[in-house]
Amino acid sequence: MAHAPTRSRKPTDLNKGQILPVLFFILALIPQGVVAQVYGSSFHNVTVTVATVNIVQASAAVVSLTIGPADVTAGVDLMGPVTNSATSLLWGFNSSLRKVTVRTNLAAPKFILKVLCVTPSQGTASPEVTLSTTAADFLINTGRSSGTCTIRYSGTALASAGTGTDSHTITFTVAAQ
Amino acid sequence: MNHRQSMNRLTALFVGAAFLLIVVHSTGTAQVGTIQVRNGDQTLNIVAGTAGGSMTSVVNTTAQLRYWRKAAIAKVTVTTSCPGQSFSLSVVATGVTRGVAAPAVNLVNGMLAVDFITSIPSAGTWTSTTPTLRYTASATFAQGNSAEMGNDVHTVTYTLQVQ
Repeated sequence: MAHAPTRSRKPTDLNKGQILPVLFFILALIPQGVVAQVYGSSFHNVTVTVATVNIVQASAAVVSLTIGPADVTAGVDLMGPVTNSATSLLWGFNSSLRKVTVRTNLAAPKFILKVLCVTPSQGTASPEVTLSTTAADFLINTGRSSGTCTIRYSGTALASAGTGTDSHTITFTVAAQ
Repeated sequence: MNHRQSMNRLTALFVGAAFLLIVVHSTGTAQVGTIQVRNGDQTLNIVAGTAGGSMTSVVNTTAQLRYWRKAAIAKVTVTTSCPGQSFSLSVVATGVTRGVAAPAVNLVNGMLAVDFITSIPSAGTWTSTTPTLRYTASATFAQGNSAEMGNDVHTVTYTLQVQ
């Protein structure tokens, strides 16, 4: 039986087990810029915190209502009403479901002063209230928002009560609803 | 030593040299020598607002970004991850002397990486530079507060790459 001729391996020939390391070596020589577009990354954490902020502010510090002769009807004890809508209330609530209440510091006023929230940009205006030292709802159903409304003051007096001046300090307070 | 032994030794030499080259390459792409955020994690606290307006924005300029000169013109990109993000955060590089700072970038959870500093030159003898990272946090009243919404925790990543 004839045998197939065998080829003699030259000393410089590579066997299969040597090809892989050689390819590995050649690949490692390829410049980094060709293989990878990214040089490196770095990161850090940045935290944003927001405090609870619920604020209201009246646009004017002083409001005046004067009941005078023009507001009197002969034979009628009730004088007025005289109204003032020059003041706005501004608010900013970042807590959910808030309301605004209103009260006066004057425990025994001589005349009657009422207040009403008019056309609020957010929430629901409560009915007109006669100011007392007990806080009453002024604006309700106000969620997280920033808004404004008109404050309408209405003053009346009884002719039988005579003349005089009531000085009120009106306080608007943000409360949880 | 016969032929087989000498070839085996040659093979071992190739493998060792390849391994060493790869180690050297990897060291060259490590954080030091490429890009590095300095001065650690940062916090911005929004604590005030204006009735009828917005919450008062807060700025932080403590962190810096150091990057090195590379063989090709390069750029830095920025991205963030902030699951459940409620508030606004933006960043801009200031004091950039190597490259061109992009306008302030709004950092939004899940955003793609966007250019932050471009045209970083490869020429010259400069080694590295360290501009400032100016973060601005803002919020509206409608976005709520941390007590109800939680804090926003961003992982902001800067990448130096070929432009």
